[in-house]
Amino acid sequence: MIRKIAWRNIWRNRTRSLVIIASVVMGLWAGIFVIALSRGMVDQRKEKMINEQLSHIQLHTPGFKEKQKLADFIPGAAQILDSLRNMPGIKAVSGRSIINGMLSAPGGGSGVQIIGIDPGAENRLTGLEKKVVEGTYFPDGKNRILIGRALADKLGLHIGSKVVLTFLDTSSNILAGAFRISGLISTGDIRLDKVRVYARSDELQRVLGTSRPFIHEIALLLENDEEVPFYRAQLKERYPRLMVEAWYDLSPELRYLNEMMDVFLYIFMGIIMLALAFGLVNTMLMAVLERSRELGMLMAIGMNKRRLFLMIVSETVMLALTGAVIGMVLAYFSILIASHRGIDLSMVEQGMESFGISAVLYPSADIAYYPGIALMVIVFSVISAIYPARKALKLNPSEAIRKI
Amino acid sequence: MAVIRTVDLHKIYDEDTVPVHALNGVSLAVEEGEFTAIVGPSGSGKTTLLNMIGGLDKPSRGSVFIDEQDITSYSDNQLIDFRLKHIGFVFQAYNLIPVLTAYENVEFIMLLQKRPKEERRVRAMELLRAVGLEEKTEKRPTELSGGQQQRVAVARALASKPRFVLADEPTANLDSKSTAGLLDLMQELNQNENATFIFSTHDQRVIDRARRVLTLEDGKIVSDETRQG
Ligand SMILES: Nc1ncnc2c1ncn2[C@@H]1O[C@H](COP(=O)(O)OP(=O)(O)OP(=O)(O)O)[C@@H](O)[C@H]1O
Ligand SMILES: [Mg+2]
Repeated sequence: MIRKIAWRNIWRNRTRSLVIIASVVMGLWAGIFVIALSRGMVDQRKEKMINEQLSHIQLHTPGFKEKQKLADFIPGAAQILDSLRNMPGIKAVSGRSIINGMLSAPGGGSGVQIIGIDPGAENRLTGLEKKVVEGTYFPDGKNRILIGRALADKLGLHIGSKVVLTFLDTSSNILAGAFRISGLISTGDIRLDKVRVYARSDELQRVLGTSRPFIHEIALLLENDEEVPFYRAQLKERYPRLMVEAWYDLSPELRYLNEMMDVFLYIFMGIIMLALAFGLVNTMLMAVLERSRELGMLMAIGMNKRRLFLMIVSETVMLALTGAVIGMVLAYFSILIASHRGIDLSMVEQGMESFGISAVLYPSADIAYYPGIALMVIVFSVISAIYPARKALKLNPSEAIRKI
Repeated sequence: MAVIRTVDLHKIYDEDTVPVHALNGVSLAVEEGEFTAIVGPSGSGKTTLLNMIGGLDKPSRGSVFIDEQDITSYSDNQLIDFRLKHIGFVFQAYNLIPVLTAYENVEFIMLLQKRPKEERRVRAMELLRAVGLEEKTEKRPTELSGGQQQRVAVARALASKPRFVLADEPTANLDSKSTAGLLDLMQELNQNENATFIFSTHDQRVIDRARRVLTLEDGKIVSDETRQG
């Protein structure tokens, strides 16, 4: 009955209640939308980083990452690659040679990072072929390479241009190989596009004059991204002499961003709710003051303070929750639509892409936040009810009734 | 044994500034089944006395005994509980919860008393029938006339099975027809259910219906008449 009274009391002053409900609706709708947008941005960045650059797990020799020495290749890489390919739960694997060298062309030279790959495996892992914006991804024919478009622009190179790649072998001899550009790539990360050169690893091997595959890096993608910690531990055990790192080891800032986002979003929501709480306090205070005779009567006939308090708290919570539910439903559907269509931010595309953020944002339709937000609404409305409720409890029934 | 007994009741408002002696030593006793009017000029202390008896306010001096329990020493919370269990109230106006129907208003007090649902339903319907509103159970107070609202208030007051009902000028806002109707009803309930009524009034027609009339002047009882029949 107390809940029934509280609910009906809300509709006594329809306009006033609707105003506060509308502000809760707008506050939550906007708040949740921004959360979904931020979450979507972080998720998109994470996905992109994992699917195009980091992969789920990478293996190196312990010394390689620091100095990137040619000699720090993974021993027995071919067998490791084979066994990883046959391991259940692993979607794609690629082995890479990573050699720092020079790219020389008639228009000038530039320091580059030469990545030797198996084009098929690399494409399955990172979708490299999709990054080709001009030319062809490793067509038939010898000594074809892909270079970043930014690098090509810098050196005035085109599809079909001949270049020479030079680098040192393990005994510091200068080696050189002539290659022809078959494609230009754009990864969305301009910093990478200025230094990246992709070649077939077997052709690099030939330049090095060795039959040993110089694989410095093995990257793999799992079927299920929740299993990363499990596979990370498994592989660590299996290859104790290698460094096994998950995406979150490789990019602590991505992990931090991922984790801090939640904290940030709850703080953000808290600020919105704090503002709404003032509106609630005001509304309920007005309601209590204009009903003082009635509240006095209720106390006179035997409604105790606990129940009176409960009645006012219920009214406040219901008022806020009504708005919250509508706001969440609106947020849910608008986010659902936006997450399918995407929000095109191409006006600022250039700037965003260089940070590895796509120009079309897809807000995250994740509803995992909703229970937490609903809980926050309840907590904030209970807090907002305290002051008005205390005002009501301070009423003296005999005085309140005398005013009749 | 008296249901209500007051001993030398004094009430002084605004003791520190301009003291108003609203009650000046009122001692009285009310027995079960009485139908008593408290009369007197405006400002004579009728409301103040009813508030003391009803545990809505505390006397400055003296005691109020309900069934020989001294309620003047009770805390606010104890008093609320005491009122719920033992006293029925009918005020001049704003008796009812506007968002509840007549039926729900009557039921509400029994809900506060935690009575079982079936008992609430039976008693609420019985009382609404007794006050002649069995047709109006689903109406909200705003859909009822002033007289009908006061009838619901009487039903509500009795629903809690109180020891007595206090009514401060229950007919003040009613026309003469509704006044007569309400008094008929109260008298009937007094006779059939042995409900004890104490009411204050200015209205001579109401005074005429009382079996005992207590007259207050300047916070003192100046006459106490009991009529036969
Ligand atoms: N809360 C209060 N503060 C100060 N003085 C008060 C207060 N309540 C009542 N009084 C005074 O106490 C005296 C008695 O008032 P009370 O309301 O009991 O009279 P009453 O007989 O009920 O009058 P009426 O017939 O007008 O209702 C009056 O002089 C009144 O002004
Ligand atoms: Mg009065």
